[in-house]
Amino acid sequence: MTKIEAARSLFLVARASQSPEESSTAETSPTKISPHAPLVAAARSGDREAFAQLHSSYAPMVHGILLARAPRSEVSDLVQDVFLQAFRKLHTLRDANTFGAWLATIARNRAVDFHRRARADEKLTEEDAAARSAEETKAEEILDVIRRLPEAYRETLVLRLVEGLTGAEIAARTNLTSASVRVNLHRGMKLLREELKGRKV
Amino acid sequence: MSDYLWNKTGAPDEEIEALEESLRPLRYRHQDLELPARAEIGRHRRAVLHRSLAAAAILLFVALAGIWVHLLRTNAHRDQPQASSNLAPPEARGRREPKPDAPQTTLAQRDAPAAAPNSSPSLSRRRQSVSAPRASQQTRRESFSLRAKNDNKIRRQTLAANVAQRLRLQETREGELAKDRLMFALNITSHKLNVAQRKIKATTTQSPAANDENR
Repeated sequence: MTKIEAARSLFLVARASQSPEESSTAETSPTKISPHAPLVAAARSGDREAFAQLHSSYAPMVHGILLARAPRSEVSDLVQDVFLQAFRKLHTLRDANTFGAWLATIARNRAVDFHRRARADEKLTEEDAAARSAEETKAEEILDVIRRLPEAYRETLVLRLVEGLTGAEIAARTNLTSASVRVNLHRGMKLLREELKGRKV
Repeated sequence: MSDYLWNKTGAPDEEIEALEESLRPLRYRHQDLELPARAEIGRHRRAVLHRSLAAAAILLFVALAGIWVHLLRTNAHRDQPQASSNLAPPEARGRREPKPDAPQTTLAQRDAPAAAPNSSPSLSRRRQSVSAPRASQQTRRESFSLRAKNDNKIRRQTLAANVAQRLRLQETREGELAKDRLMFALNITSHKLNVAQRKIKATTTQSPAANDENR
């Protein structure tokens, strides 16, 4: 069986296992009306409170996307940067329903910029390492394993396992189809299990 | 795929639960967004940007139109004298080129009619072109240098023609003088011959009487 056939069968299985309720709500497409569209419209007209609400809703997604790409110590600042950039460029967003995907793109580009500015090989100092608890160290180790996975899987896994978003929420926030999110979660989890067994983390 | 991985429902997967628990310290902790006080949301910026862009576009259009009209005018003025000199018949063109048979005139007199039609429009054109952009100034300089070269060439040709005419007139004068001298010499010789004939006649008429006396 070729890879394409395997992917197709996996997609069909995932679709068949989806409940009718989910298929009507979680099957997102870029043209679907987002529940946050009125907030986006209000923020575009200058409502800071609306933008603060958008920040509360989308900050975990942005945090997860950045955590999958950038060092943990920088992620908080990068989240702020991403929202500031979004605030300044909100007028360039044409469709308010695609705010999540647009924000995710800004976050990915910001992570790329961060690595471009020669801070990619930033190594943890001894002080940072000492300040961490054992729990945080273990979390960092698992995160390192997730970061070595392919990009599509690591982002979805971080949003699910770290940020605690459900598959439907991930699909709604990132404007991906729920089928894609399902496939990414399934394959990513499988790869993560194999990696963790191999490393005995 | 288990429902727990998808939406945290159904039978919990111990491994996933353990992973979630391990990764919990990395989870996002809410922080208030610090927006800058002066930051403006796009609408107002966009309006300002649109207005400034429209103004810039209008200014650019006006400037381009002005340059275009100016270039058209300069091209038209530049082409006029060339076209007239190229398309005019040789008789008309010969206004500035002296004919060899034409009566002798001075250089100033000869250049005057040729320079007259050029002088007033060309001067006004030159005055207009002082404020023109540098690009057109260069083309104008080239045209001026071309005109100067043409004028020099015409002046040289005129001078040569004048010299030739002078030489020809001098030769004719000398020829006429020589002819007069020759005629004068011929007259003198004819008169001398007449005198000699008369003397001979006179001697022949006197000689029979003398012979008769001797006899």
